[in-house]
Amino acid sequence: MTPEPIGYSADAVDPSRLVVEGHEGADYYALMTEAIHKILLEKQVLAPSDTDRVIAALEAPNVTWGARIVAQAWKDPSYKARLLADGSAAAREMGYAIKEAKLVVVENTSSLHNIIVCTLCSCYPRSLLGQPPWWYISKNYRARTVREPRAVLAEFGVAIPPPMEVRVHDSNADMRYLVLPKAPADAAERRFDDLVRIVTRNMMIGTELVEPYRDRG
Amino acid sequence: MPRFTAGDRVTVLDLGKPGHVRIPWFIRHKTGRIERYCGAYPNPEDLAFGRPGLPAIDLYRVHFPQTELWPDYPGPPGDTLEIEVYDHWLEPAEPLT
Amino acid sequence: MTDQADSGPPYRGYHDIGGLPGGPVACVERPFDDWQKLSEAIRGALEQKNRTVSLDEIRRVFESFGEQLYETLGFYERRAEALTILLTEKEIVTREEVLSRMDAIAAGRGQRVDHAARTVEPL
Repeated sequence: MTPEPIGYSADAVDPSRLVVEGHEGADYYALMTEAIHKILLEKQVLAPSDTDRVIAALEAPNVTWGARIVAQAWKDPSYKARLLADGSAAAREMGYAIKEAKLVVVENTSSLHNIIVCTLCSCYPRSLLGQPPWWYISKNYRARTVREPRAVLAEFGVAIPPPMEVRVHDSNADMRYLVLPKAPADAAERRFDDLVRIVTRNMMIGTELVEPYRDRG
Repeated sequence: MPRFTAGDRVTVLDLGKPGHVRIPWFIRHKTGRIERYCGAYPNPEDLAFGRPGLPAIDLYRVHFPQTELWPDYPGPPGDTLEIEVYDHWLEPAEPLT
Repeated sequence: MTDQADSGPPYRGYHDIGGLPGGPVACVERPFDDWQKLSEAIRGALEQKNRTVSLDEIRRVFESFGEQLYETLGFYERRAEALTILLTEKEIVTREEVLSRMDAIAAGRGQRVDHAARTVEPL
């Protein structure tokens, strides 16, 4: 039995109609979730430990895990080469298992800036960085980033001088993406822990820079 | 043996499938080049209905100039976009001369 | 199947919003609420333990449950609604069972549920 999908139409984009950013239903769905959970426990479809275990796994990943990978790549050129060749294997080297998909790491350079988006839902390397930020799951970010990335970046205070390429990665299927930010000029002299501290979540999505790009134009 | 290798030019099909698909509207009918082969993965169009999605389908990352996707793209002509496309959504395109 | 470049614009689902015009990106932070965690964890546990649900099924449901719901609900709310629909489809729960349990929990807290408006209010 294949339910018939609804809501599909061959309409093209209506430029006069903005995407609708809905935020309704939190109290209602908090209650629905509680009700579903109780019912599934009663029916013994789930045991209490089942969700406890998943919640622990949801809460464990954090931005520092990604920051450690970035700092390691800044410090060690051979690690960086392995990271860019196989992100999942290089993350595992640092002790982090990317569970939901294969990790692809994309490198910012003086001629290329990368930015990550998922237009269809909100795919994100959750098992490394945790839940995505609120703005990442917003429809405005999902809708606009693929078509006007520089305007979106400007809203984050990020300017990319025009000779540089902006490359958008639409995270739509079985890969998850991490931006390797361009290292600070003095990375070689700085301690590993010091470098870890300067890496933010937004830098690893591509909406923040360690240092501004130099205008070569 | 994957059908395409890095550098091959491909056009994204519009399969007109109304179910759950992972190929957004804005890359359909558009031509780009294979950036890399990603491996083979269960078909999400099957997984969406509780089926196993096997045999696994080859997945590629496809590289597009933004100007190919959006004729009115507001940024510099060197800007690009990369996205994953399953093999059955692709057909070979003529190489650039 | 052949390319249909001359046969008009491609199909676009209401969730398929890449390239559509939008407003400013609100660069704000919000916490990951406990109920959102629990909702994600129920799905994750059902997927890992029983292979009962998959993320692609959840996506298929919220991509077909109607544009009005997709537009008005928040991200985790859409996923929570889709989970209930999917568990109903699989006959693991009935919607009536879920809604009446919601009413009972709310009543115990001096609240009432408006299922049409999808709100919870003090009695």
